Amino acid sequence: MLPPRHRQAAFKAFWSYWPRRLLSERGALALALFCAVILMILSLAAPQFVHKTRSVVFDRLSIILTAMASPAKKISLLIEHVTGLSDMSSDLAAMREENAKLRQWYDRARQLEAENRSLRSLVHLADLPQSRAVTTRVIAESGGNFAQSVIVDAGVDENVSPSSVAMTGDGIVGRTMDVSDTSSHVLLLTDVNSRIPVVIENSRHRGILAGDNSSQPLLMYLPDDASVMVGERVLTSGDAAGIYAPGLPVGVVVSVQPRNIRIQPFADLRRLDFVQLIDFGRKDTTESEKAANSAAGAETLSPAEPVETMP
Amino acid sequence: MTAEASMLGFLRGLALDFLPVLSVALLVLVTTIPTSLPPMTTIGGIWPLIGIAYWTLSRPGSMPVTVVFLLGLLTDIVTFVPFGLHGFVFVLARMTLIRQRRFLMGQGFWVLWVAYALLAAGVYTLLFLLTSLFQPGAVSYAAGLVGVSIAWACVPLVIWFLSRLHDMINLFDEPIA
Repeated sequence: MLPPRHRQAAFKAFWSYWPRRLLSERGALALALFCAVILMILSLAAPQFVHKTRSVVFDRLSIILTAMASPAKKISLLIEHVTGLSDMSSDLAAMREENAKLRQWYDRARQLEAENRSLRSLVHLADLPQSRAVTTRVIAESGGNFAQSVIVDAGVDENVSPSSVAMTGDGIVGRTMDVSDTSSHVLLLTDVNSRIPVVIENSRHRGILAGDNSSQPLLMYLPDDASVMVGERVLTSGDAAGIYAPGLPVGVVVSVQPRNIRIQPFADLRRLDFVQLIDFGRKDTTESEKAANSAAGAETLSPAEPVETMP
Repeated sequence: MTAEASMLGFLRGLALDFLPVLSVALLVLVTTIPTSLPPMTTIGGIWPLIGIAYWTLSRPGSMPVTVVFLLGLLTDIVTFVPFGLHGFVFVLARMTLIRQRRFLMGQGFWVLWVAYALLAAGVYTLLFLLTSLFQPGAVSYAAGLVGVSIAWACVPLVIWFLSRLHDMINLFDEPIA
């Protein structure tokens, strides 16, 4: 053990050396690289910490992001408007035709809904759980090819559930991952971490839709004898303890190669202005949470409402 | 010192210290604006790199290692990648630029543009390798090069914007009478 005088001198020498060393250019560089490596390891070891931090930062940034997204959207709309002027008359004719078809489908849907209701009562089938929907605006997207996510400007304050499915009128977009006070992180179905249990509409073969950061996710784990045709529709199967209700439209098969079946999502993920976050009640929630949710007045939809699309 | 002079001094300090950092932070946030571009056409980390490279070469004092690291952290947050990834890469990019600064400062715009292309390619490759460590096969290297090329093509525009900002900062940098 050193005598107190020498200990003091050593202490002084240490504190006069290391802070200066660390504040020097090389020291700061080494410290920054060391911190970066520690953060990378922490991201692997404690992903919840990363999600939480990200949510807090996006909460704080949501005002700036909304302000930045608004003029950009206006410019984009203006360009689309100008470039679309020449196609207006042909678009109008196509829309009239589509409208006539949709009217027929509407009548057919009403008829099927009534039939479904009477059949359900006939076999005493339990009613499907009620779903809650919150419509919200996309304020930011992940800039880069390393992840496919968007940030929407609705969170706990707007009663968004952490187990919500994000949809547009066309089909599934993804699911919520983190919900903070004023914003939510939606993982798109094209993200490499996205896995959705799906079923092929006609053959009823079940599989998993796996994102790979490309615009057309992969259909995996189909039975060996499954024959898949280009143009077949893919819907959610509602399997396991997932949050997806069965029968939600996902996409259409666009390419079939051995071990590489690609799906084009119905929803246009490049043009996401608004999305609907729907909680299908697929996860058990406590009574108190249910009461709190209903008290806050989230819009309530019947399960058959706008989630299904016309072929 | 009069109140006017002290106010000018405060504004000057603010401009010198914060405007370069804010401009790069803005470049980070610009990549999050929802666009109708297909995936892989925006590489989040490449856009702030233009700002970091510009300020490191023209005003190295405004881009210390700690600031570059924090800007990297902000980029990690908004691009949904593991924390520390961009911090690591940006700090290395800054180190490279500081070492080559004497050579690069004497060169014309075309040489600088080519130098940025090399730097961006290196940064993207490193980002790709580090991301692959976390999620092997998650990203297509070739597809991302489209995004790098788009950012590279936009360098003159971003540099024009940053140089206007630099002119403004230089006004503040003149000694107060």
